[in-house]
Amino acid sequence: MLSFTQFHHSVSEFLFSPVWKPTDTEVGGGQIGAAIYIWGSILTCAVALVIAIPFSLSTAIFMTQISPKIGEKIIRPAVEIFVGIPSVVYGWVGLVVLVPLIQKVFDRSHGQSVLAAAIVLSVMIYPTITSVSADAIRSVNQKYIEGAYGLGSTRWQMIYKVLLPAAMSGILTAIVLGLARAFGEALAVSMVIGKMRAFPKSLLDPTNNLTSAIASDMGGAMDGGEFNAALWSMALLLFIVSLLFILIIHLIAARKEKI
Amino acid sequence: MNPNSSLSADELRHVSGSLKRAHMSDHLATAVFYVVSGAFVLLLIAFTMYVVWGGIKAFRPEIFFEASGIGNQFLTPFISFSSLL
Repeated sequence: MLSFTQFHHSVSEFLFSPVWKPTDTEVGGGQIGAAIYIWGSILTCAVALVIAIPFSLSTAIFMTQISPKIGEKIIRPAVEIFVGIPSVVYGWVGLVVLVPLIQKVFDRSHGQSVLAAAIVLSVMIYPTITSVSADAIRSVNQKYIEGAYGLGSTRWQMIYKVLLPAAMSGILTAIVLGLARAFGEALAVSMVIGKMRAFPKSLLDPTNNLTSAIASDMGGAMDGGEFNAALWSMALLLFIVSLLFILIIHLIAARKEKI
Repeated sequence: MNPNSSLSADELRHVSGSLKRAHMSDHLATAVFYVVSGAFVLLLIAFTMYVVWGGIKAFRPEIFFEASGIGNQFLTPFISFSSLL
């Protein structure tokens, strides 16, 4: 809050200006436009969701409906392994495998990009969305499924006309949980995003995001200075976004109870 | 529908066509689910093998004990004690 109270920056400057030049002094006078970081966070998370959701839902449906045996014996333990892998390992594998691959495939001078960050994030949120969605699908009343089969539906018709709509609120909760994890992830993303302070013109351009900026700059910012306060403002923004995600999950749950 | 009425040849063809389409899309969807889940398991195996193989290749027992090794990062009594607490 010091950015806005002591250093007299406006909230609109912080949210919408791309000029990030805070001074590392207690006097202030710099500019704290975090738009590039905010856009970087939003873009990487959005692309990660676009990549992760189809795979996660397909896996959740497979392990609950298509082959529950394989699902229980192989896929579920595998998903649990994915949950337990530390984020630095994801980031490191992304850095040594994915970044050179993107560089080679797209013939770029660098592979660190929004796409690399989004792919790493999508692998990280995949287990969260998969396991919560699978639980939501499992909790659908068996009578709905039997009713659909009784009316002559094929398995696929039952899945997309009965099962998915019935489990939709649980699936939405899973997606919001995945999004919350993606938004708060710092280490793995900072290793592959390129940390360039510029709006990306394409998915193959490097940029920066809120968490990476906080993680990389907080150690060098003077306590009580404008730079430090600006980083705290970023942390506050992340906190507010996380609260929003939790609120959305509660709203979805409340709607589910009503139904 | 009147239970006594029988379907005309055109109607029968239409019903059988839509049944065939439904079965085709069902098979296709099942195949897609198998492929996606198989790809996930393969990804996990590749990921794990990459990390494990990389670790085994670079592993020397001395890294736990030499000064520039990693032993002090997790064998320090203080860290172990703190984490237990």
